[in-house]
Formats: sequence, structure tokens, C-alpha cells
Amino acid sequence: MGIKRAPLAPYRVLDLTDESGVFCTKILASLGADVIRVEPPEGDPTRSIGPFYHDEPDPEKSLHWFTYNLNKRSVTLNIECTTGQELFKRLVKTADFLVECFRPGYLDKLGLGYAILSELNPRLVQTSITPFGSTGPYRQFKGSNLVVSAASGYLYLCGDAERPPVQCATPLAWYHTGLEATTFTMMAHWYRQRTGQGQQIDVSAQESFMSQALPDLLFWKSHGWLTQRSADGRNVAATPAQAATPAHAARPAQAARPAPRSMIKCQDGYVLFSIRPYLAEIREWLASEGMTEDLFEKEWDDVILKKLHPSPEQQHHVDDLVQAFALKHTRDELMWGGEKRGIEVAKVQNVRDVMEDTHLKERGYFVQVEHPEIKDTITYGGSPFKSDEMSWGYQRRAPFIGEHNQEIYIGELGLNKQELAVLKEGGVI
Amino acid sequence: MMTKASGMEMALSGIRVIDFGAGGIDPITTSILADFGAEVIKVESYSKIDFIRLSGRTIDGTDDPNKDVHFARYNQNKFGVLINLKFPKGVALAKRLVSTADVVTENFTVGVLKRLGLGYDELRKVKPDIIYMSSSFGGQEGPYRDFRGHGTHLACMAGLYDLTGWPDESVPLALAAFADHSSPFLWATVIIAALEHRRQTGRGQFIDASSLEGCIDILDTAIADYSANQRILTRQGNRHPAAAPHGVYRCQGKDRWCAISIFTDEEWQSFGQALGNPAWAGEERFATLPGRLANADELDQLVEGWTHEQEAEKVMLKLQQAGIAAAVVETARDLYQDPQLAHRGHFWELPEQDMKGYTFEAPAGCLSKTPASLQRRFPLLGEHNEHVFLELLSLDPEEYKALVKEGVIS
Repeated sequence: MGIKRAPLAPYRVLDLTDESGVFCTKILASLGADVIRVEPPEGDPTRSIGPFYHDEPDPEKSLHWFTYNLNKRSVTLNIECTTGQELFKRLVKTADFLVECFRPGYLDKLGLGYAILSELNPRLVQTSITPFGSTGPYRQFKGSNLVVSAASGYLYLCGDAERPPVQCATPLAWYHTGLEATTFTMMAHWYRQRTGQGQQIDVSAQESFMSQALPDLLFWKSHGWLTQRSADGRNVAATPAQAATPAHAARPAQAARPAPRSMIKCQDGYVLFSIRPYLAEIREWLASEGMTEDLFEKEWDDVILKKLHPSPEQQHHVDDLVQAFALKHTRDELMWGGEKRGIEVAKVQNVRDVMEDTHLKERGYFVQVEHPEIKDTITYGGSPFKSDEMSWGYQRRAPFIGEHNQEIYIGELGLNKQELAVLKEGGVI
Repeated sequence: MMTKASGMEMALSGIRVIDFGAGGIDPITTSILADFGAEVIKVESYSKIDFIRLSGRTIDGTDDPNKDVHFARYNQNKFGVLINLKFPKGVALAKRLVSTADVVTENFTVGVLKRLGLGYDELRKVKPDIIYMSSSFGGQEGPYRDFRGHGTHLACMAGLYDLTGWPDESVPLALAAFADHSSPFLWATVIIAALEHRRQTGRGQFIDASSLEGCIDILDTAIADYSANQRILTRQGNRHPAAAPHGVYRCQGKDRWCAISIFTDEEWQSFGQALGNPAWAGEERFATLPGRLANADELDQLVEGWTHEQEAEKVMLKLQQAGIAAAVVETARDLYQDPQLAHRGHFWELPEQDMKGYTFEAPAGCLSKTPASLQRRFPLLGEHNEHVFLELLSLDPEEYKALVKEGVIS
């Protein structure tokens, strides 16, 4: 077994993202790339995103900044002035990737569009992440995580029927967009490594996050169904609600089929319980505590033993029995009981549950990173895979504003101290 | 084959992937690779059909495993072959296929492929630099090793369901197989990273891909917040700590909504102007973000008082023209009519007779030189047996016939 290597260690990324794309450069940094944040002289705007370390609002204590900029370096640079633009071009010549989230046309106006940058560095892969993409009637539209969630079709699926659609407390649309942008960036990287040719990647957050509305999209087109938000937390998988067009009315049998999984309340929270595929196993389990009611009667034998599809009424009846059973148990009892019987039961975990999860602990998922300046160690998410060959990880806390100006401008670009002082004086860095 | 025929060099041209997987995460991972030009060969058998073919949602209402809408969406651009791995000859044939490949993926229950003689240590004997990814619920080792589950189960375990909903309700309100559609992008990234590692070192590797761990980053800053501040993030409804109004507002019609996010005081002023300067929009207490956050409930009612008599599309356009982030809460029907998506050609449509009109989304990344493309629909069961075994593997036709007859290719 050799020493683990960071596969992107030979490559440099210029990172001009905001919160909508920063997950992309975070992943590239965890694969070992030399990611350089290019911040405006006053510090990057995402440094104002909370929460903050010990709740002290300070651009050097944003936990958002901490989380998404591990392993990166930072330079300051005003790319809106001519001197800054020249310096930026010098940086671009040394880079393999540029990832940015500016509004379409902004970099072009500064004379830093892909056409110009790729002439300086034909190998450059530029990933441009915007809410709606860089072409089309909505290209200048603004987005937030909530707004992109709405425009992608995902938000409509979350919530209960009586109230507005509702989001997750963490920015899932930005998470997902950053994730997809990384994949596309790696595709272009692989092509570049074979051919020497860079290219530009136009990533629309709306389109990316549509991946998460997929079940709804599928059924609308093929069956004319719109998925309805769940009113009681049950039937959380795609439930066809309205057979909308006559062309689709020919599939009543499929339309009537209830969802295979249900959200079930238990003593200490909720579990997601796969019920429909496991009626026989569930009947045995309930029988062990005398809670089967009529499940051993003949009509049920047909459904259970012949594996026929239960009617919605039958499904709800089983749901009710499972629900009554679950109220006598904890999440862990149900989850492990399910595992023993081959039934998929997952517990709904909160943040603390996840961070104290025994499986994740045993696999050493979470990582602790030293922050010597605040004399503390902070926990972050770690590697999603294990390999003897390839590493994914973080050795270095997120950088301070312009922490690596000297290292990069003097040490790597060859500027001298006087030049650096002049740039600082002029507000360029 | 079609890639070469059309002469189009794609991002992953020349990469061959053998996919033993089934269900969601594994097949979607390789479909992403296939969309960008990898040659993906999906291995099934009549004794072990990809269970997604039997999801019960078919294009024509039948139970035909060749017409399932999920399978169609997760397996486009792939070749499909049949190998019964219960026969030693089937295992030998699979090894022969792997010896020509760059990447193997699988998501069997932990240990099953190994017992069949197709574990990493066996396959590296026939292809020393093979990249072998086993994806599973929680990884190959650890207490959850034998867990099975879908993307929804993973999303529950990773915290997504706990964080979706209203602060005043305990029931989790997400409706998402989230991990089914996020992990594949992570695993596709990791596979390309492994190709890069191989390029640098000449070495393949085994990758234990834990989809649970791949999903934990959805917690965003909640991990560091718990670590540094001992705070447990909870549901926030549609609120945002640095924006108000920030929410989903009822519009004209049944179940029609518009999402609106106002971050800066300038945006708030533009908002007032866009509404024709109603008195409330000019009130001092709403002029700054702290004031708007402190009065968020009342603000939501006032905003909804304006939106609820208008069409969601009009609200969106009016606010976006004023420089404010806003969007219709789109349903699937809206998405298929969305002018932006239409302009960008975001949908692929299958031309084949048997799935005529079946439409799905193209990848969201537009690569200027090597775009994704739809080369072929999902494979029917065993559709490419002859192409793969006779042409790619150059199996002797007599041997091929014998293997079919013996039920090995079946």
C-alpha cells in the first residue's frame, strides 16, 4: 500500500465564487487542488454570512467562511481597476481552473471574459455558476437559495398541503449546484488533460437543482400526475395526486398505488419506514408483540403472501398498525429491528444525532481542524469515501483576508516588496 | 460506437465502465458518465433484473420491464448486456469484460460480489489498474454495514428531514429521495479524480463510497456551529437570518406561490417602487434589515396582501425587473413550459417509437467544447449482447451461441 495522494495536487484553482458555488471549490480543495480565493481588498462578502464563532460577528470568524474555505489560500485583489486586472491576468496564466459566480457579462465588461482569459491560457477551464444560466430570458434574474429552490420544482414538493411549500434550514440548492458544478468541472478537466484544451462551463442553478424534482418531472410527462405535498407527513414518496389529462387516464391502477414508505412517529422522534414491500416481515414483527389485529385474516393473506398491491385503504390500515406499534418503541429499536428483518427503517436525525452517530464515529468521518489563532479546534465533515490510494481531506483552516498575498504575489508571481506596497497603497490589494 | 461514428470527441470518450449496479445511486452515477461520452456497459441478468425496471411506473401502464420511466431516466446512453453471475462461466465472462475496462461500479449488498469471485482483489488480477467503486448505504465497514435503504432513508439519517418544515410542527415535511440525486454527482467526481490519480501514478484503486457520508455536507455550517457554539440548528420555515421579506407568498389560483428574497435596503426600496409605493412599504420600521427582521411576521402578511391577487408569473417578472430575487414555485407542469428552460434546451426527448414523447432533463452543465449528448435511450434487457460480446470482446460466434444456450448470457 502506497502513500495516499491528493489527485488534484498539481492543479491551481482561482476561486471567485459566492455562496451559490463555493461548495464546488471546497470539493476541489479537498481533492488537493491549490485553491486561491481572490477576495476584494475589504474581504469577501461571504465572510459576513453567519453563524459566527462564539457568535462574534467578525469577518475572520464566519463559520460559513471556515466551513467552505478549508485548505484554500487567500489573496486580495480589486479586479475592477486596471492594475488589478493586469495582476489577475498574471494569476490566470498560472491557473488550471477558474470558478466564478458573477452575473453574466460582468467579467466581460472588465475585459476578463473567457474569450480573453482563454487566449492568455488556452488550458483554462472556467466554470461559471449563475442562478438561471448565462443565456436566455432569465439570465440577468437574481436568485437566492429559496428562489432557486422554487424555480427548480423542488420546493413545491416540500411541506404540507395546507401551508406554503417550505424549505430546508440549510441551503440545499446551493449545495446541490456546487456538487454538480464540480462534476462538470472534472469532466472538462479530464478532456483538457487529454487534449490540452480548456473550455467554459455554464452552470444554471435552476437546472442543477431540478435533479431533485425528478420524480415529479417524470410522472407529469409520462402519467400526467402532479405530486402533492404531504398533509400528514405520510406517503412521503411520490404520490400521484391529479390525473390531469385524458391521455393519461388509462392508468388508474398505477395511479391508485400508494407510496411505499411512510413517516412514522415513535417514542423519541420519527422514522421513515418502508412498509409496502415488506408486509410479510412486518406482520411477523407485529405478531411478536401481539399487535397484528386482523392481518392474519384471509383477505390479508392474498395481499401479503401473493404480494399483490394493497389498496390505499389497506395501506393506510397497515400504516396505522405500524404507527401504533412504533409508539411503543424508540427510533433505534425500530431501525435495528428493521435491519434484522431486512426492512428499511431510517431514523430522522437532528444535527446532534448526526454528529454523535456511532457509525459515522466508528468510520472516523468527522475531522478536527486546528485554529491556532483562536486556540480552538473545530469539527467539520470529512471524506465521503475510503481508499488506500487517494486522499480527501483538510489540513489547513480557512485563510484570513489576504493571508497569502506575500506568498503568492512575491513568492510565486515574482513581484517585489515595493511593488506590493504600492498595490496596497493604491487599494489594489 | 455511435460516438465514433458521429466523430464527436466527448469529455469522457475512451473510458469504459462496467456497471453491475441497480436502483438509483449507482446507475445514475454511471448515466452521468455516459452522458459525457463514457462507454457504460450495464450488466444484468434475467435472474437479477435491475429492480428499478419493476418500479411499477411504466410509460404504457403495463408491467413491461423495458418501459419503466425510472429505469429510462437512470440509464440513458448505456449499453445493456445479460450475464448470469451464478454460473462460473458467467463470472469468467464478466472478468473478460472487466479486463477491457477502466472503471467498475457496483452497489450489491456488502460482500456479495466478492463471494461471487468479482471482488476488487479478483478483478485487479485481470486488470491491474482497474478503478473499482462499491457504493452502499453507509460504506463497506461500520455498524450500518448491512443497512439498505433509498435516498429518502439517507436524507433522514443525514438530517435533511429534521431541518425541513415549520418551527411549530414536529412532522418532517421534505419529499425527497435527496441522496439518490446528489450522491451520483459526488461519485462521478470521485471516479474522475481516480482516473486522474491513475494518469499520474498508473495505479487503480478500490473506493468504498458511503452514500450516507456523501450526504452529510447538506448540514452546511450546522456542523461547525454545533462544534464551536454547541448550537443545534432547527427548522426555520422559510425565514432567512439576513433577509426579509423572505418567504413563499400565496398568489392568485389554487396552490400558486411566488418565492421572494429581499436582502438589502436598496432591494427593499425597489420593492416599494415596484408595488407603486404603498404607505406601509415606506414605514420607517421596515427601512432597515434589522427592522424588517424584527417585524417579519407582519411584513409577510403585507407582502401576501399584494401577491395574493396576482398571478405568480407576474409577481416574479415584476420583481425581477426591479432587481429582486423572486421565482414562481414551479410544478412539473410549469417546468415543461418555463421559457428559460426552453431557451436553454434543457430537455432531451427520446425519439424511439416505444417511448415516444418521453422527455427528461439534460445535464445542467453546458460544456462549451464537449457538451453532453443523448446518443441512445436506456437499454432494453440484453439489447447489446451481440454488440458487446461479439464486437467489443470479439467472442467466437460459436462460443457466444453456446453461452446463450447454456443460460450464461441470459
